[in-house]
Amino acid sequence: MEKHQDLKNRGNNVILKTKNLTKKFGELIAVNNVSVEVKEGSFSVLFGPNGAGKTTWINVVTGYLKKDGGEVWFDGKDITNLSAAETYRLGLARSFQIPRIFPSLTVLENILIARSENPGESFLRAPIKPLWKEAEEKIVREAFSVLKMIGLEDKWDMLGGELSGGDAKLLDVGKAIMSGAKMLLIDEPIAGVNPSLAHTILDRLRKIKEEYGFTILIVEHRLDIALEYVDYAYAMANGRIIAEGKPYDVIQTPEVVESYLGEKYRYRLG
Amino acid sequence: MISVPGVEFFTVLVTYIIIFLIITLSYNLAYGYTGIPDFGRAMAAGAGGFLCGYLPGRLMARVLGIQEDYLENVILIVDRINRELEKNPALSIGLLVLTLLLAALAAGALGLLASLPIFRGIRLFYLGVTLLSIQISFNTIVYHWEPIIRGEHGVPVPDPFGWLPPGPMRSIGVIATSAIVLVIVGYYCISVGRSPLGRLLKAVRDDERSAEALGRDVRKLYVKVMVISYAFSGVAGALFAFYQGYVIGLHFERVTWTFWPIAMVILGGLASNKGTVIGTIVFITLKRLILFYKADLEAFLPFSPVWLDGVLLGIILILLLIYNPRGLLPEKPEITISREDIERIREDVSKVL
Repeated sequence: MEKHQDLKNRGNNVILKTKNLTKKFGELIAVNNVSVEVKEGSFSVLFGPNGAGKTTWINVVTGYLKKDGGEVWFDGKDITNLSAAETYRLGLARSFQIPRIFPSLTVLENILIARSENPGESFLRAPIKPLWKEAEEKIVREAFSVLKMIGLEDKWDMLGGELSGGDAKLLDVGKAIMSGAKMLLIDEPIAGVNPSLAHTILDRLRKIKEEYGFTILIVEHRLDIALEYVDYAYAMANGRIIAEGKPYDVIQTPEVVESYLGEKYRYRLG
Repeated sequence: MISVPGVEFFTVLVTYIIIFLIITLSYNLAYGYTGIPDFGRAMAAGAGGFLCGYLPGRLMARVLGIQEDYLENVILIVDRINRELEKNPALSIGLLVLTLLLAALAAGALGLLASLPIFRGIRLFYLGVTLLSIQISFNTIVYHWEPIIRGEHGVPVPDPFGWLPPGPMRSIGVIATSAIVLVIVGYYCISVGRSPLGRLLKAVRDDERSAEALGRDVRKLYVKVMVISYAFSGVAGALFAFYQGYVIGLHFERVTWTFWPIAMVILGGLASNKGTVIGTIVFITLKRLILFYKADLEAFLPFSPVWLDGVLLGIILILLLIYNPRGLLPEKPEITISREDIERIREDVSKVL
């Protein structure tokens, strides 16, 4: 957890920046010259209607899709052309709309696998336990800190495939934390979960961010719940960023109301 | 009157079980743990077995200064080699160990070459089918290209156990050597299963893309598993060739050396080493019993008992997959450190946080 303490003490710099980022699928421009700056230590939301280009933006930023133009910078490094694995190793972790849990591994093992520097994963050392036992115990210790953080420590020996949807999302976040990531990009953390669990998940994310200094950016539709927890918002429509700023200011801008919320919603907020 | 199996039956049974356990444990590492559907496993055993027919005889002929054409006079030359080996246990053991090591090397190299399509990004199922095609080509070449082992005529294999007293001692020698190899292979496979590497292999099998996203080079991992697993199977092939004392181009065909091992692993339970052991023992014992009682069964069967082992084992497998698809001993989570250690660490962390 030392790495996370270091993060907590860092200043309020820009950690992730995209400059004129563009991604096309044939004639369709899914991400259109998007320039975004995410402050280190912030908890932000990226929202917009279906097909706005939010998940495509995440996929390009994290190396899952090749960009057609523009740049991506993370923690002062140009990561525009890096693969997903390389981006992950630099500390930019992501989770998916549908959690990517290893179903035949236990919850603890799902967390442990996120730590890639493990001597016991060598084909020569693996059969000789004394060569990796100490390192493994250290990693297990860190894993339990993460499990406690996400509230799954009592379920450590359950199989990943047996978890509920909400717990699977938390486990996905836990994997990202365990990797030693500096920033987490979380795609729809509360999609498909009940309001009570949605509040629990976002509350835990907020605490994780405050306690350990992570930068968190979530992509979310359910603004009625999400806006309570975030301190910055980006609104996206038709592949472009149409507004950004303080959450309740952003949702009242005319562009956002027109493209996403509708007049009725403005009246209610007002 | 029904025959009763004698010592010879059990000696053959134990030898087959040990040799096939080496094959199935190594296959379980590739398929059960890592998810590589290798339909070409016969060529791994073949690489070791055919090398046994090709190399030790020629090597010994050179050591003994034999000038004649090896393949033309192979029966006489190997007979002379065997007489020398009978007199020299150290040379016999040296030849045995060297051949087994080279068999591992040859099969491992074949595993590397055969798995190279992985780097082209092909899906695992297509790799499995590609391996089957490569295996068919491999066996076709060995069968038709006489300079290797005289194809369908085959060659005798020098006997590194000839220095033992004649009779059951030779079988004990083969069983003891195979058992030593099995202990090494079994230890490796079981230890890997309980290590962080085993955890990683299962993760790759569960979701290759997600493991890649966690910073792992999945393709390299597949290739390494193939090399190690093929090397082990190659040694099993070489042991089988030494046991038979003769190797022909028809040996190491895909039904016995690919599909039966797959059936044994499925019968026991994928990614379960205990299950693999049980599956292999049950499968081979049943098969040997059917072979042994063929003559007795002839009177009761409406068809030739020659078909029986294939038909019966097929039916057993179908029933098992319908009623117990995860095998006799299904996969269970394997923890790297003891549950007590995990609970202790958990309590420590709870106190600190």
